[in-house]
Amino acid sequence: MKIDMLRLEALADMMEQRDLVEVELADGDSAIMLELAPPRRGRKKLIDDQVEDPGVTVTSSRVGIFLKRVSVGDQVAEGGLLAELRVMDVKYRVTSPASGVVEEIFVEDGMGVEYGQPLLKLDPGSSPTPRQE
Amino acid sequence: MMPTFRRVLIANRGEIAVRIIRACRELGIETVAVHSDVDADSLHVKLADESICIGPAPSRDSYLNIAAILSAAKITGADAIHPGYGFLAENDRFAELVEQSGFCFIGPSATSIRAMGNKVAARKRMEEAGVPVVPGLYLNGQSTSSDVIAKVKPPLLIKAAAGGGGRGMRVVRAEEDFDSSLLAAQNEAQSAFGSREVYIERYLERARHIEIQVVADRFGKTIHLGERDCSTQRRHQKLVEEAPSPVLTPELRHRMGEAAIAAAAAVGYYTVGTIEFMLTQDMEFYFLEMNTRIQVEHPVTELVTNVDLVKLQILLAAGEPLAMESMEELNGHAIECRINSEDYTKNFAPQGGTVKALHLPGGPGIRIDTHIYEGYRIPTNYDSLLMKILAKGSNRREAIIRMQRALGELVIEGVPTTASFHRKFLDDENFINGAIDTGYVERWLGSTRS
Repeated sequence: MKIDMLRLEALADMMEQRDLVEVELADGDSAIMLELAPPRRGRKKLIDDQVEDPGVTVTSSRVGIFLKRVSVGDQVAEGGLLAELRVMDVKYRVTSPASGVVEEIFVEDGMGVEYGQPLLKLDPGSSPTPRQE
Repeated sequence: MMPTFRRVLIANRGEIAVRIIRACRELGIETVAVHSDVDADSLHVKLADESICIGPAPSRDSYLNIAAILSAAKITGADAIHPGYGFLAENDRFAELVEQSGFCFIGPSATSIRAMGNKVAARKRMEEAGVPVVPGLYLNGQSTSSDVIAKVKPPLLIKAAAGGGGRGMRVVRAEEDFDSSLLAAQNEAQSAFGSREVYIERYLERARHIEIQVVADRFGKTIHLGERDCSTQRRHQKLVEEAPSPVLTPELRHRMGEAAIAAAAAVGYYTVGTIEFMLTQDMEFYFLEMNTRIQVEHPVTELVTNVDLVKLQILLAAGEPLAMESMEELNGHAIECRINSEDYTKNFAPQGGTVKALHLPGGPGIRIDTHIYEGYRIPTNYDSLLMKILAKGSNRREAIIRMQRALGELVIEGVPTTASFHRKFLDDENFINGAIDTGYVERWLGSTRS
């Protein structure tokens, strides 16, 4: 049996969707067995990403208008103001979960954001001076 | 013709959100779906033109979060909000805030919701409007149990004034049980609705639940579209609905329809709504309550009247006048089964799970309203309704046979559903003969267990 990587990948996806742990494919005298290892692929990938990237992503806890209060490269202290969220006529403060440098801002000033949307990324380890790319 | 809406935000989830999206699409209106984080893969999110996450899984933080919903409407440029049923649909404060924030609320006025929300006030208003109410009395602090017993003989019913859904409700059959039942009902009312207010009424033995669909516009016209018989219920949760009722005569339909119109008009109603009645064995009917929203079982009426109630509701909200008259001759017969993710052998306990395999019934006369699909993970945070199966026939017998056939075709794997209840119950001789009342399902369950 010729092993087709694309088909194997599609099969693995199907197994995940249907909560299958083992699939055996037989064709003539050759056979191949696929086994999904727990923790499932999706979750494992997430953990890997976190290990590779020490950045802290700040997400929106509300639905509202994003009002930017820092710029990329700014040093912020833990508890410092990062942004405000305007929900109807009320403004809510978005404060920094850690001290660090603002690495990236994902949302344009004045745009609407949903609950859980990434707003900006902090580099908690970096020094206040020139940002390394 | 009045201009309609450009963009409607649907403040709901599940099958009703899908139903509203479909109505909007047919009217050429864009839709915005709101969802909690666990509902990101839900069908209404996929079908809407735009979607926005409004909060975490618990309803109070998402689908009941008024600020988040209004803010979502503002951000997405919606001009109207449809509340669906449940959640904020009968919250007068929400209706008021929607309008104050510059959106149109696709439903009744806050004043109408308030007028029907308090059961004691609603009863009083219905009496004034000449709508029959169950003989009973409001219990004030001074009343003693002997006063009550003298006025309303057992069996009697104690109900929470702010209540609904059977909470804060007690049946008293013997005089000596009154005091303990009263205390229990008051405590339950306090914890469920934040008010100890209760009222007492005669308990109607073996009555049917008959409700009348009403429709009203903003120009003072109110009509009715016949009845739905929802006597197949368990603990006030409906399981099967049908139209027409197997027991209503044209004369009785006319009288109940007129009473329903009077009830809706009495609270200045200007959208679709339902007046619920109890119908006794001697064919006396009494006002139960009004549901100031679109109902779960609205498709039953759609099938026997050929009226799209959700589209009509949207057009009425946009200010269109009502261009039809009451319908007292219903076309054929329709039955709806509510398929919930509940295990009926375990007291209808709600179940979560993933839909592993799904096959939907089809063919002549079958309509399915659902939000589930193969691979869909059912969150346990919300109502357990998965699907409504409707069968339409030229008469009741054909509708029942079609429903039995559809239930036979239905496959939902991965989670227990009430379909296993319906398959058995639709074979029941008394159901087939239409000889049931609102307590029948409980008795039937008791007899099938033993």
